[in-house]
Amino acid sequence: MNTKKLTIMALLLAIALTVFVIEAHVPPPVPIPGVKLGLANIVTLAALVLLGRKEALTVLLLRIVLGSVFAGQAVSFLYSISGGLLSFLTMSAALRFLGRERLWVVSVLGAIAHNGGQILAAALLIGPGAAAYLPILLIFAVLTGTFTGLAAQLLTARLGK
Amino acid sequence: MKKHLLWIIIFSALCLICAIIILITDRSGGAAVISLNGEAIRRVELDENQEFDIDLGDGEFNHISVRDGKIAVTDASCPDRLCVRRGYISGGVPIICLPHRLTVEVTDGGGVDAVTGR
Repeated sequence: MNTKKLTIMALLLAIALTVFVIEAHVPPPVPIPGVKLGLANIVTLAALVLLGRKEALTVLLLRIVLGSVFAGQAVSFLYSISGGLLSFLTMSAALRFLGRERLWVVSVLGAIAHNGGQILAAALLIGPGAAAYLPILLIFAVLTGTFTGLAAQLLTARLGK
Repeated sequence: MKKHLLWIIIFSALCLICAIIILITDRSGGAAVISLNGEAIRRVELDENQEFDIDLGDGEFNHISVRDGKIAVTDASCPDRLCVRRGYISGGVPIICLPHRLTVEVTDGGGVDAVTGR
């Protein structure tokens, strides 16, 4: 790993962490647990496109761990990590097939997987009744995923490479 | 544009299906079931106004209010208080308090006769 890559990763981690902590302090738009914009995912998508899978995963994992330390509760870590990992696997696979000109689609699929992972974690914690939330979460996943995906697409297009 | 259109249609269809599922699984009626850790702990008739606390021990609580056929969590000791922000509901997506693993769901009252306690 060269120094330039390491520096970019550190910068991306700092940006992701800042965005994540700020978003955690803003009341979510809809008072349903699990619904949020997920602005930090813009950084994960950018890292995936600009750096690669291993680098993006490193940034994501460090952001989740440090994010829970700075802004989370003990429970939220479980939701973050299960949603985050499932979302990352989906996005890195989807990016191969869809390419960066359809990054917003990759983002929506990632958001859907993220909520799927959260529902799985919730089902373990509060019982299978949590599955009742899947439809409402999926609707918001499409909306928020499109938003963050378009943001990431515009960002990576401008950063070039 | 064409390669985007396909996905726009797929995602729109997904939203539509989800909306339909939400509507057809809605069994709203005159009662509500409060569950803790996925287990129904209390059934509430919504035709009479009332207020009570769900005591979770260690000073943790959710304060439930029933008014005009609707139910709400009006106070809670959880950190995010999303359950309180939901306000009064008469059906639809249940109120969920993730930190306390508590849910409040409006139902037609059927199928919850096995509710234990009170």
